[in-house]
Amino acid sequence: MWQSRDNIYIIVSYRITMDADLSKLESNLGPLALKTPLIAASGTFGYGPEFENVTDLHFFGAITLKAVSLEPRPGNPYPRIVETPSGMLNCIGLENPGVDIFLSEKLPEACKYGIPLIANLVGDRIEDYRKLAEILDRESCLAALEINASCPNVDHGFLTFGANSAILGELVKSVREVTSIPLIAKLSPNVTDIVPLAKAARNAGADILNLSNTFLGMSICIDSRKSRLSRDYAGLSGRAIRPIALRIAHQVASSLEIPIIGTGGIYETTDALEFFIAGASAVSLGTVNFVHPNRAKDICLGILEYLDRKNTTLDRLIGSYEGPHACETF
Amino acid sequence: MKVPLSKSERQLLCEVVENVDLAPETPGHFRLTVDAPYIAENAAPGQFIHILPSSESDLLRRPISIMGIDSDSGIVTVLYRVIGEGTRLISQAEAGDKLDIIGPLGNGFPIITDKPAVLFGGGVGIPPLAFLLKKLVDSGKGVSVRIILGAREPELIICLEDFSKIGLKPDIYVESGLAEAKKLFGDKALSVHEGLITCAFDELSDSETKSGAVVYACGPIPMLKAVAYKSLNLGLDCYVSLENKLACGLGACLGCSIPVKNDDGDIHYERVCREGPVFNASRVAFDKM
Repeated sequence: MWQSRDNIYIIVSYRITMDADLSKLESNLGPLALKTPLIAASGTFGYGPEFENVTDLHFFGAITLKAVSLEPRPGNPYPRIVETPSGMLNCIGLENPGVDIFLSEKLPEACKYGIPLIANLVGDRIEDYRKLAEILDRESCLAALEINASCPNVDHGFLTFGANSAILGELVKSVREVTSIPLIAKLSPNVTDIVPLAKAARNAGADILNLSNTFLGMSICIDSRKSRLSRDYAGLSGRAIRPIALRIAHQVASSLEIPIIGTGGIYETTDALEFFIAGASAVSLGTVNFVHPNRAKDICLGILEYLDRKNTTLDRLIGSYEGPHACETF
Repeated sequence: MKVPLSKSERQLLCEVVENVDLAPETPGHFRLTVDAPYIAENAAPGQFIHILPSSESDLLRRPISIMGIDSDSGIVTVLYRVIGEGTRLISQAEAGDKLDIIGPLGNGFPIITDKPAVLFGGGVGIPPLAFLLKKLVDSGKGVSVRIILGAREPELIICLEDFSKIGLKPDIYVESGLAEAKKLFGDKALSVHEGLITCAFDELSDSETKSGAVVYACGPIPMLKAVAYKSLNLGLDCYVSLENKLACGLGACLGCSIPVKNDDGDIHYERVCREGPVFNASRVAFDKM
């Protein structure tokens, strides 16, 4: 029994008496088998414990951990976020304690939840990513490695790796050589045509593509005439980007064969369904976690209800886009 | 696979008991009380609750410091000022409505009972000091407490009734409108002055400065910076409660991080929502904010 317009709350008696049968949500993302097609997006979910007692973590098929680099990164100066219409800009700057603390403290803590974990790799040079992959390849509780070639908030980010097919291909190939763990390439949407980059990543050995990351944006304080953030430009996320992210996911899905994680402004069940229809095999939840930290549960239950109502399966839904709207002919 | 639908502990649907518009005395300010036994049971002064402005909007949650709790009745009170769309939506909640709240979050003020306490509050930084004051007084250790409140104008001085309930009168500093402030607060204040809140440091007694009073401060960042500077120069311990824009409020996004000094003088970042919002002022790199 539902209350409110978007399945936010389930009344208490339902919570207590019902169990959710999630088996219909099992999703194959290439070599990665997920119990649900929802993935927590890197940087929006910390390492997991942050959401303990707030989120029913088991509704996530996987959790992508906060980005990890070889050395600790302090992140960008204050201020780092500003809210914008239907979204937010951030310039966190990949703050993280480095791979040593990641391995000794963060990963063991995240592992205890028993949910597949994805490490999100960042570096300034191809060698950094390769070395990280070599180190993380030995970690049994990591289900996949995600190459973050798309962060807009650091000086060596998407401009270095995410906007040039040849360099992106070289990066993915170099990482692929040292690991057999499923490899995800998270691409930048801040390019004229993402398809050549997607092809380069796939041809270099990426198993899965994550499409995509935040969009470069800007916000100016009209009193000081300065940026509201500690950088000129920052990454836009939230509902505002969803139609663009959906278009990107569809463009790639219709151009090449590779499992896709759809990412960008997914807040509701219907948003996730649009991405599946466009060709994504799984979707990431990012900014919505800040507003509705337990939304993964609502979306899982919403997808089940939709599949039931339409008498279909997730497999059949994925990539079932029927093309442009056309008037019925009589 | 069967997954039990467990009940979240910290995200709660809380019934609004009342949401009182404090105009005309303090226009734009509302006092919200919600039925939230879990929060009332667990909250400490300086902690905040993270309120979803409306289930019908996309806005991020709004962090608001806790002003008071009644652990017997499970009631939690906050006082907020409407400054944008989020707080405007919260102000529309009516008695009986349900608000989606996560909390209590963050680390509160240390309760130090063997030294005099001086509380500095500016604008909407004043309400959490009412909670702190109650804890200090309820400690039963006879802590000497002085309250100093400041604002740009008299109508932004709030919560006087709450302090007088506990039997304490504050010293008040307004940047303008002294005559009006004297008229408004004459009998509720110990003294009323025109000037910045930091002028109060000149009025502190020897006993407060020599016995090493603990300074607690909550208010806008320029005020906290000035209070911290003055306190640390006098050799006083100072704890500041920082406000910042938050996204998750849970420590995951690192969006609210502020610069904090290392021992070697370098800086690193700590989260207002997790390590804060209360920080030892000597650690905060105010010059980098």
